[in-house]
Amino acid sequence: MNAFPQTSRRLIQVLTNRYVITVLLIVLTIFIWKLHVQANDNGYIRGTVVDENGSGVAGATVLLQERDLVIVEAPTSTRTDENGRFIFEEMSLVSFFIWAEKDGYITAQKSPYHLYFKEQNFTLPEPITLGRE
Amino acid sequence: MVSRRTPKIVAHFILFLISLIMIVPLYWVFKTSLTGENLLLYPPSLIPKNPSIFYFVDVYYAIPFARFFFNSAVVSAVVVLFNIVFNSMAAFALRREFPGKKLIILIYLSCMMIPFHATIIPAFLLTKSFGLLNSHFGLAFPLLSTIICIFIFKGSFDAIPTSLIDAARIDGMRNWKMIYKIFLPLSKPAIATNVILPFIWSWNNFLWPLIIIQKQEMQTLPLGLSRFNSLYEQATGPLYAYCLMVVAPILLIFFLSQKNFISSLISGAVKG
Repeated sequence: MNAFPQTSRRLIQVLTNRYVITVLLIVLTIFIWKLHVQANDNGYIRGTVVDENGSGVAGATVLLQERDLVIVEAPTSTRTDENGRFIFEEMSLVSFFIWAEKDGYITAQKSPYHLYFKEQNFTLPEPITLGRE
Repeated sequence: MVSRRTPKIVAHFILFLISLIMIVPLYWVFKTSLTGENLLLYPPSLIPKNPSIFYFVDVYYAIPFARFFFNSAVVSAVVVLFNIVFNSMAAFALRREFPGKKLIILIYLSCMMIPFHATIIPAFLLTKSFGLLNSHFGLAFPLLSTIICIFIFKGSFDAIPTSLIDAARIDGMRNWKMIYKIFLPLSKPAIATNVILPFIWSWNNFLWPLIIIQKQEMQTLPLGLSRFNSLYEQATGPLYAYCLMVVAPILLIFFLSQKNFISSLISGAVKG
């Protein structure tokens, strides 16, 4: 008759053990992180290229250059649409430079960005600005 | 007028200062891993400027960190498990009286004085003849039983009253069951020490894995650290992040078991 309270008491004792709590917390953190990664790993990097007035620059070339701790890879590029928006798809990198160029404009400076995991979906927090020559 | 509490406050203040001095290098490693600041930066800043965890991300992708971590964890788990089993059995035997016991203890003590470096060639040949090169078990092999930990178990087992053992024997309990049911439950601090010390030794082991591991996928974290250092010599932030990632499990295990660990180490001090 006392079996259930005894079992539950034992279970509570096990669950409040600091080793068990630590392991559970680690497992839970990994699980939540994996869920977050699963939901955000399409590998696209997108943003906007604007001029000094804040209007989108169509047809600008956006260059993205992967870098690791010592090596900087050759850049890949894409073009902006009529609203100045661009997107790189299926990118598998954690650290990169990005900049844009177009005839008649001053080439934008390389901006460094860092991601939390490979293939993370990322939208540039601020647009790349091109100044007129 | 000096109160009776004053010496205690002074002692605590001095201890606090010493603790602070001890913790500064670890804090510096932590700070550099978040900021990547040059160590020789002047003036040095105590508070991290623009901290980020990106150096940890860099390390994770720069080398097969997860694989190295897995190897280290498996080897350490094997070492800890075997140490508890073998050392408790050895200590149980040494608790009893038998002819040649003193000689065996003497041999054990003598063996403790031989550095591992002196025995590394026979250890390698033995591991090779067992076909354990490039394997987790081969990595764990020399640390499966450690003499210091046998003595820690022995000290703990010696404190268990003989009457308890006699009662168990009268009830017909077998030796292995006596170790499992009586000795080990009454020796939790010794178990904690047998977890922490072999874990630390195994986790930090560099020389043995360097000798017996040729395949990259079997490397452990300290070997990975050496490789990382040779590849990314100038990368201060990632290097410190790597160091922290290597040390973190040891710190975690120590913080969790420190009470038992310390009580096991000082248990011999109060024996008459």
